[in-house]
Amino acid sequence: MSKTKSVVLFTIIIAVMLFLTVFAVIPEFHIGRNIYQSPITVLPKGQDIYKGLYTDFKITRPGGMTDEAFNESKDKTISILRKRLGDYNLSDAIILSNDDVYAIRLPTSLNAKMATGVFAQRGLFAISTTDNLNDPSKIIISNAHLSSIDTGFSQQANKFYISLNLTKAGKAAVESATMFASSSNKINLTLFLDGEKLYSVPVEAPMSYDVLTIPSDNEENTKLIKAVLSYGILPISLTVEEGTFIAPAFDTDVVMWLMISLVVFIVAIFVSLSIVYGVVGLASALSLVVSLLATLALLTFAYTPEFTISGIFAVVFGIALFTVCSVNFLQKTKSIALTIDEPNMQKRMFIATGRARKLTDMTTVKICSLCVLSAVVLAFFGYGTFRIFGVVLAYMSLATLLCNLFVTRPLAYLLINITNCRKCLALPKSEEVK
Amino acid sequence: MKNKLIIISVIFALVIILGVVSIFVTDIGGIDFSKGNSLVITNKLYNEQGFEDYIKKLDAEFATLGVKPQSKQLLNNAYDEVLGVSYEFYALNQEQLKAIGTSATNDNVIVKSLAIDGSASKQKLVMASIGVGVLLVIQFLYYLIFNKSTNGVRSGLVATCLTLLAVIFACGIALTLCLIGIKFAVLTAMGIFGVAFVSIFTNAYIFSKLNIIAKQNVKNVREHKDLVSYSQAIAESRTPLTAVYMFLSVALVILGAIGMFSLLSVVVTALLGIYFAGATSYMFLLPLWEKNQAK
Repeated sequence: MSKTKSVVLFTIIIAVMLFLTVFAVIPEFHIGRNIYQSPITVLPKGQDIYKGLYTDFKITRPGGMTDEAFNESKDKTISILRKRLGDYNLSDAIILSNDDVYAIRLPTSLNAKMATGVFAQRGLFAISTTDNLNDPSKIIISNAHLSSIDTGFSQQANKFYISLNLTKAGKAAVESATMFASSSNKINLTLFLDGEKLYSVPVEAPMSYDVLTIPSDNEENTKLIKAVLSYGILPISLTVEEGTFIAPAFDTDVVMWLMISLVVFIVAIFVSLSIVYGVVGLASALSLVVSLLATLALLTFAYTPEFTISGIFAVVFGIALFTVCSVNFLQKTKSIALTIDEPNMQKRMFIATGRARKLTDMTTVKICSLCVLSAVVLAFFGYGTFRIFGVVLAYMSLATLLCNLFVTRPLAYLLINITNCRKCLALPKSEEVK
Repeated sequence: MKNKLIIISVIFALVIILGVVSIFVTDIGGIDFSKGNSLVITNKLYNEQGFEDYIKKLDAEFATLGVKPQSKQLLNNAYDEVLGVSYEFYALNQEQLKAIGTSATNDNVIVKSLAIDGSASKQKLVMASIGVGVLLVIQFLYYLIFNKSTNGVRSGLVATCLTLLAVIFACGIALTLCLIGIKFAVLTAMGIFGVAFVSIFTNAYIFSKLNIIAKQNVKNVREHKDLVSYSQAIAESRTPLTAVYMFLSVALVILGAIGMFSLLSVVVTALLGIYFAGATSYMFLLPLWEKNQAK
């Protein structure tokens, strides 16, 4: 590789590294909507390393209800709450109980809308042709009329939508309510939850009465409606008290110690690779840093559940994967360099690096792709702690694959060029003299 | 080879036996498995200094009673003022609960004793077990599709069996630790996943090496290609694998140095588990594969 080429590659890599560093470190970087806050701030953190929300709630027994029915209703209520929490990726929530008094611990990412979605209890969800909910004749459908619910984002309309699959009674209700609207072809629907109006939206009179698709004004409302409607109404009423913040399960010192040990671990790898494999090792170590930053960027901007302590463990295992791929490449480079009969050390290293890359790329691709697949399986089947472990591992494996294929070699070429190859691969002295 | 196999098998069997025994002899899980109690004490007076003194006194009383809270977390309002404190204990009997309740009672506080509902954790573990199953199937399919030159079915079978062994071994370790009070937590299950992950990439790495070397050797030496190939693959994988296990050990030892019980459970399980996974992969993966080939 020529000097110009390696300088160009170096510039690109440095630019990418700087960009990722900006993502990772600088608190407020005003480029676009997403980069407004630093990823570390944006990264949703779980209750074990950040802080949680603690709130009490009381389940009230309706008059005349038998003990058995009451206990069954309580269990059903808790089960519905758990499912709703799962919809908000809050499955790490802890529910505590003592007779009718309950308490719940949640990650702090629970905002007012989410709280409504979790605790909405009266189930008074309605789609009405009027804003006046007091007129019950105007209510078209409620939970009882739904068999299932789908939500998503329509690229065509550039809007979120809620798709309600109606039961027989639901179909009849919608049909009778919209039969007079066919001339204008538009009906005005108003959505209510727990007696509060969410929003109004004009919709086309449905052609088919199996499914009613309603555009949603924003993602929060879509999630809220899904969380409430998917699992039915709470069978029993509950009183939620004001929440308080709860300190993290692993206190600040422990989290700090964890972060320090992670940094020490990374520095140890960095130094070891550089010492044992010279500048090519240094290139690999720098590539590791790029992969970590890329993982952080992915964690911030792609789908991520709350980051908990298991995420830190996943980073450690991800680094282990990176080390296998790197040392494999470095070891191969070293062994090839020792066998090449070329007096110019720089040329020898270029040849060795190129050949080693060709020989090791397939191994890297195979291992990393298997690891990405495995991690995705963990993320798919896991809840809370397991899911974040799987997600971080998948991102790390992906970043390891890409960095080993596209970052390590250009960096190695560049460093070989810059250093004039005095300590290219920490080869024995007799070899360096050649 | 035979001696090594016997030694590893004996260790493996011992750990499994201890693991099984611990299921019957001791509680395997604490607060993650609905065996915990939480004591929530709320400050009535909003007198932060007085409340902090009260908490200190309470900590001393718990020590006298011989009950050690597994966690202690303060409850704050938006202005970071301390409103209360929440303690978590592993399964306590009624007498201990009563004694704790009595020591905590004070005119200025409200004491609430709550049981932890760990039903969701059980579901998590069920899903995690399904996840491990799918993981093994995926590993097997991967070898079936991408390792044809080293006989996909056989290499897949050997690799999957070794990963399964590593997972069972790690479970055994985790359950054995319960005997000395380091309880099995949801985080421990995650450590077992870590062991599975390490086993998967170690096997994949060794087989990938073998694949490349086998292809080269087929061109050169047709006879004894398996034997030559796997000795070479073993020799070439030594350095990278040693480096990885060394680094992983350092990281886990540093994490374990924090000394928290919940972390010890994952760290010790993962540390011993990855060594077992590494040792079995390194010593038995290719010999077992070669033996299958010969048959």
